[in-house]
Amino acid sequence: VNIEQEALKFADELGDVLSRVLPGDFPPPQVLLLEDRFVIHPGKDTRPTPVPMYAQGEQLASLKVSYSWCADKNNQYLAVEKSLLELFGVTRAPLLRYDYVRYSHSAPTAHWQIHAERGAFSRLLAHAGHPTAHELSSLHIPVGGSRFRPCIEDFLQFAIQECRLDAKPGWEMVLADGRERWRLRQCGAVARDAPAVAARVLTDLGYTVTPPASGHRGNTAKALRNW
Amino acid sequence: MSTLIRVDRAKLERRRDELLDHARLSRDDLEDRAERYVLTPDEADVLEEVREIEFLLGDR
Repeated sequence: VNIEQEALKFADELGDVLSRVLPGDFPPPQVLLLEDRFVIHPGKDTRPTPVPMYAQGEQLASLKVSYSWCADKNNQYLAVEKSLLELFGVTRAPLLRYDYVRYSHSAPTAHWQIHAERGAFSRLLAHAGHPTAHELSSLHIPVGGSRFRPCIEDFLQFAIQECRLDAKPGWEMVLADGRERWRLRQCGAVARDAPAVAARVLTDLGYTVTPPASGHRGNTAKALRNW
Repeated sequence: MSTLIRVDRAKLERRRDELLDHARLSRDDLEDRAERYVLTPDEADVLEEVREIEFLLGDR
């Protein structure tokens, strides 16, 4: 895999989605590369430049976007090691955060954190002995693991459609196109995780599938079983 | 249009040290404050940036 070429392609795709969906000025995503690792986020420094988010033309929030990538051990595929999407209010108070951490130790691989208060929920957590019962944001809400996690298009559509933040005309099509691109990529990854299932489905559809001489490769347990 | 910026290992290490010096917190202190959900917005920015630097360096 050509890391530089692929990194720029992903950065351009991200920049295309952001610039065609969100109003306002913000720098395009850049690739910061060191050997076989790279980070993509708006701005040229190691700190991402927040993307302004508007409601009725007034800036009321910012979006932090960052993707950390590296090549797999065979240098055959690039994989996202970590990603972060975070919505902030004008006082820089965090509102909503979506993280993906490929090798997460305890929290779900892909999760939302919601910065909100709910007395009844905190009371439940306190009774259950939760160490930070007063902080609902300390809960990591699982969302589909590595393969079935939401994409940035889902996050942006949530901000626009559910939170009523401003968007450029035509945003729906841009997000639908990006979501399709993302899910097709994930389809490939899922087929690699469960080749026998992929072969069976293709056979059911009338394709002729010939397994390798060594037989079907086993399933990727981590991707299928981790939360 | 995106561009590719090759970053330098020594510069990244220097930047990480500057960030921690400026925050007057050790790396472990920052993680500890993050686990207790008591980071200020500035400290949260520092921690995110330090984590990105360490990712590029392959340190964590």
